[in-house]
Amino acid sequence: METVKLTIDNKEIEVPRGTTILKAAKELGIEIPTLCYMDLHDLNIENKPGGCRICVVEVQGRRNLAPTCSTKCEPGMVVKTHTARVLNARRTVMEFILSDHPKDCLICPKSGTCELQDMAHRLGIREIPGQEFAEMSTYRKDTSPSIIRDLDKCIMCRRCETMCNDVQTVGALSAFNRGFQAAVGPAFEQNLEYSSCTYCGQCVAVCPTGALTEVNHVPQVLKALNDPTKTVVVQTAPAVRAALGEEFGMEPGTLVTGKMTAALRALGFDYVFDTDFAADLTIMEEGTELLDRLSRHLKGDKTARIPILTSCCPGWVNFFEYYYSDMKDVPSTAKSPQQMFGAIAKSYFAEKIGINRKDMVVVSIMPCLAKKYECQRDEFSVDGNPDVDFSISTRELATFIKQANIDIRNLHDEEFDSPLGESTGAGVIFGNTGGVIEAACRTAYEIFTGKKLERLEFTELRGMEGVRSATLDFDGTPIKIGIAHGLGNARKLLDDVKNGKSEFTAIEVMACPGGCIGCGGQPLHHGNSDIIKARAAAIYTEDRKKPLRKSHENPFIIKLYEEFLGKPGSEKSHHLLHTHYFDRKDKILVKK
Amino acid sequence: MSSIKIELRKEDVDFIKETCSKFNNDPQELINVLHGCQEHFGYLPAEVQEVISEHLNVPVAKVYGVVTFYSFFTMTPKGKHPISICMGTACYVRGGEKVLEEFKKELGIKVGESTKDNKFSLSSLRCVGACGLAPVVLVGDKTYGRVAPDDVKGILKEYE
Amino acid sequence: MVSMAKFFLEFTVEESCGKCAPCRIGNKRLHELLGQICEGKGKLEDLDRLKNMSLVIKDTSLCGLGQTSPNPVLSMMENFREEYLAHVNDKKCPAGQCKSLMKYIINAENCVGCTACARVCPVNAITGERKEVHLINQEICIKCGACFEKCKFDAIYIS
Repeated sequence: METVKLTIDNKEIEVPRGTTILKAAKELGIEIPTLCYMDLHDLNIENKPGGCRICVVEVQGRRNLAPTCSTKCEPGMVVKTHTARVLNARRTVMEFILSDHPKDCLICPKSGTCELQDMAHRLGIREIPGQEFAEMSTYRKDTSPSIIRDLDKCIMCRRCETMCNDVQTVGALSAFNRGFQAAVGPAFEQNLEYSSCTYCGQCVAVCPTGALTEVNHVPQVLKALNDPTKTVVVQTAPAVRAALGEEFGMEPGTLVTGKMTAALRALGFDYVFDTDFAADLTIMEEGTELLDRLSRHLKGDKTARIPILTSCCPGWVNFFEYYYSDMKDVPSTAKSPQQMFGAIAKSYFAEKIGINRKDMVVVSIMPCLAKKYECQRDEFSVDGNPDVDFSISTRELATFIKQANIDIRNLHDEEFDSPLGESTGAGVIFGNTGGVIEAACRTAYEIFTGKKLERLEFTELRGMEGVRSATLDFDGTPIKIGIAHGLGNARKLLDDVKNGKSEFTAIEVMACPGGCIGCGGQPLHHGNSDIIKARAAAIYTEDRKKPLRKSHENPFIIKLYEEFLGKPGSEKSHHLLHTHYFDRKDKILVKK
Repeated sequence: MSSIKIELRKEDVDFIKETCSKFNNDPQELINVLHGCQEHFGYLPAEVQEVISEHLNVPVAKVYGVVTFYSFFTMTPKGKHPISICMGTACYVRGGEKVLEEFKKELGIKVGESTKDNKFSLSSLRCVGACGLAPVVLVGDKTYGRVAPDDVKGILKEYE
Repeated sequence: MVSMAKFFLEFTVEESCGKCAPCRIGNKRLHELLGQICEGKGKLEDLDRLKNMSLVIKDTSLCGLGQTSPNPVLSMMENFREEYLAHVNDKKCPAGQCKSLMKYIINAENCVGCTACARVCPVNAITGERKEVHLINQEICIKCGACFEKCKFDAIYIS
């Protein structure tokens, strides 16, 4: 490999040709401040529009300052990262950026986790000269079911645009206008609701400021908890337990299942249940559907569409309803675990405890922002009463716990309530990319072959590559599995299905990179993929700790079918646990 | 940017389709397609952009981004006689601004707007390369040189 | 010269693509500060700010537009410093270009009291009887220059 030698702050370093000054300096332990730059190493995505000009340095012999994020090292370069000229430029540019940014930090939803705020602090900005006559660029605020856009706070780092277009290929956001009025938003500056947005929340996850935030549903939850006429039931998604601890200073990958359960009970929820239970239920329904389609397909039935696509991820559902609405019969009709939980809680469980569904409030704790939109869909309610009333993100739960003076670090572990809190390891791994299909295979194998599965961990389905595939041997029948996480990767597999080129039996898609653990409602990872990997490992640890690791062995699932649903795919199951899809473009047009 | 709601006729959609396929439906040719469509329609309403987006396989947000980035593209129809006042250095120092003010006063519109009857629209531009004639005004394809504020009424009269 | 620099900045503010912060916001702030100085609201230390902002915009902008846009400001500040000083110290515009800093005054010696100026004034700032010397009320005057252009006797001058 060809290398170049250069000097940064009087220290010599040799780096591969093509390395940026920013990365070379980092190797020397020099952290040059950056604002717009974002490196998503594992996704092979680097956002470096060179727009903020905060990372500039002095390069000997160069007329102007060099942005280190996009300037490559050259042989013999002499770089100074903190001369008076550099520090003055950095400060002045920061003053420019702040002069066009609202100063309501105290009440901004990003306060405390805002990268712009951190940078102002790091650069020691104490005043913004000329603010009294500085015009600010202002825009209309837009509140969608999941995401709030406050473009007054946009600093044009373009990270959201990179996520929405390059990673997710959703194409809802683009830079518009020019000069001082430039910002990032949907076409015709319309509401996000009327765009191709899937509410995956990846834009929110990377926004350095308060320009993109989630809709806060904590006040509604608090109100329900204080209403004595309501029984408030909470469900927690698998990925939450692997990330919530980060909000309280714990190491990434710390499992807080027991502490989270205790905290939720302390917050006043009447029943603390687990979405993992509904994940097991999903496997029963989706697995049955898969086996049904597969066996019909093997018998030559042309109406049995193969591959089957998973349908647990609402961001993904929104995506195919918009871009692949002609393929509505390909995904499984099974609802997502969140919605299955809601449907069962407000029917089976409500009956069990003898209350009317109207007196029950179901709250879900989700890593995901698309779940907020999902639970508001018309088809997921009965006579205007939604199956899931409110969905709050991991981040919102953390704020809620802090508001309630609950010291989660020192809480003793507690167990979920029964029966909707009982789950197997298969339900847990739903949080990771590849997890849903692995869980499905654990069950499908045993039902399809009638034999006991010896090797539970399908490691060939695991990993962080964007598109993965593996062929499993179902006792002589090869089952080809495709996995995609990130909607851009999903699009690759989908296009093959559309063109009839797909050889897969089943495809799992999760909208967010890494799966639910990397969702838009999780604690902000600021592009550090090691955090996502630590969360993934924690999920697999939780799976290994479970005594039961196959969904169909969950005794409470068996009981639910015996007492209430009959069997997977029964009429009652179909009514409660399955859904249908729309052409979202049409729906948006009607709303417009 | 506000847009006027229009309903595209079949031949309009066909025209856009043809324009796109003339450029092999290549997303890289977006700007050329926009040029072609603006020449045809006189402006680029949202509905036209949506059809272009579909045929070039470019997100409509991107199309809108390009339309709002380049000042040449417009989402509001220009007047029958578009008036452009040069604000290049030479025209500016020789009183281009006063001429512009006079046009604004006479037409009762601001830069970037059209008169209610859609007869005139007003814009300013930077240097048409006729600095010897400064200040310069363009009405449609016709050039007027050494324009004084007093001449404005006369110029407008020519188009009545 | 200050208003000329402002004019050049107007161009760059309009032409800035918006990609990088120093050009997108910096030029706007430069233009605003020049506007303040033209209105007589400038302070001596603003000249240092003007220079610092200009140098940083040149030093950090992404493309040639921002790298050169402050040049008129810098060269004019260097070669016509006294004009800038007159604006901030004496609140005067020697070139008579800054409307806020100028006054239209009637020279009593030349005024014949023809009333042409009073009739053309759009805000009725000019008073005076026929065949008597007229007077411009500076509080009302909007400095449009209509009277100046109308007067046939060179009785109105700019201070």
